[in-house]
Amino acid sequence: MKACGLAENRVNDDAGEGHPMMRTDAPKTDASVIWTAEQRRMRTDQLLAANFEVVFRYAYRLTGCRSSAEDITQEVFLRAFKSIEQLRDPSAERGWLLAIARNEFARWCRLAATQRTTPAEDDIADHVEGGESDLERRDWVQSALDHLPPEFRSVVLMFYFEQLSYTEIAESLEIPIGTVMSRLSRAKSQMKRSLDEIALPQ
Amino acid sequence: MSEPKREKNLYDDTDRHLMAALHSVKIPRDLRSRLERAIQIASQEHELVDVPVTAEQSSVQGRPNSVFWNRRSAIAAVLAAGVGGLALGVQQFYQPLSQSQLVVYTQTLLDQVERNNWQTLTNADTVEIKRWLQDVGFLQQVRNVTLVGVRRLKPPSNIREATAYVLDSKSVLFDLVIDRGVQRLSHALTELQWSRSGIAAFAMSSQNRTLVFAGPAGSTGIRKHISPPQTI
Repeated sequence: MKACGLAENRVNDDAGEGHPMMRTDAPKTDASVIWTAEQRRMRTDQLLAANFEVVFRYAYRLTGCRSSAEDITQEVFLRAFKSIEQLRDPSAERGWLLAIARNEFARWCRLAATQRTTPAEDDIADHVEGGESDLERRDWVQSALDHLPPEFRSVVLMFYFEQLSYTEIAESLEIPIGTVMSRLSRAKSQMKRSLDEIALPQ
Repeated sequence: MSEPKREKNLYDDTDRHLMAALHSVKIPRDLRSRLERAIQIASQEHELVDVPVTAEQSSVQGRPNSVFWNRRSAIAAVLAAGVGGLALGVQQFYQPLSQSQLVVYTQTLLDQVERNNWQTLTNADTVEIKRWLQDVGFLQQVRNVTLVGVRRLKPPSNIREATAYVLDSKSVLFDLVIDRGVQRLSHALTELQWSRSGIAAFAMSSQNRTLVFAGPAGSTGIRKHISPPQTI
């Protein structure tokens, strides 16, 4: 398991913070309104249907481990279920879920720091599924991500996966915008080198 | 009133290539159904937590009648009921058990382990046991340790007592007393430092007593060997 020191990648326990809460449709947007379990379930199911793939992909890219990605994905939707009233802007739902995923990744890293385990055999096996070109692509991109320090990896995924701006990333991670830019630049260079090595094997 | 305009990032061809690669991840076939099942269970638990119970219903020893479903007792009840669910069948999953019932169930399970000489099991189908644990509602509480292996077990320092029932070369049942409350169960168990080596495991717990089965799942595995206790 990769060492994941996210000292600088501070994320709020409440994943909903910082996201727009402007939803105006059913059931109710007022935080004081109590959602029934059925309402929660229905809304979470909607979120799940529309977003489970992207959440899993994001979790996988963060952890590099399919079973951990599944755990994180499940935790994301369970947390969404519990705090569904915090999501008021339907257009922000993906960002909200990915922010929860990021929080869960931080938790996963803290947990991983207390353990010294290696990637599961089934995770290794997962890498050899699919066509050769897919495999090649997956391998280089995940391998390149795995070689990035966690704080770089987060910035890369927030920029490319969540498509957040420098400012949004800086605010979310509570770091200067210059740090975001330099991390992204260095991460891109490092990843490009990995891509070049795949394209031009020695 | 207009919202502030969101900055848009500019991506070149290399960026777009990288973005496409990052999104290229194979999705597990039944992931959606498993997630839906997890939400369904969470929904059922939510209903349970919200519903006040009568004095007659809350006759479990030591629990005040009016605030039966506080967070800790709800978790304890679900975990305890999970044990009951495993022992008695899914239909009784949400019925909270008394401590005395739980002791009987636990003892019955341990007795079965000793008596029945569980057979050698094939290598785990971790997906299957995960689904099964979701079916009985157990994964909800201990999902972090449901798919762990037994090959590199290193007990944490806070295990007060541990009994290992070695069933065969691949399956072990641990009866642990962990010095933590049930709310910390998941965390404590992850500290067991299991490796994810392809052998499934599950845990069931009440108070600080925890049973951890490490071995394969499936109809030829653990499921086959757990049957209703004869007496309660």
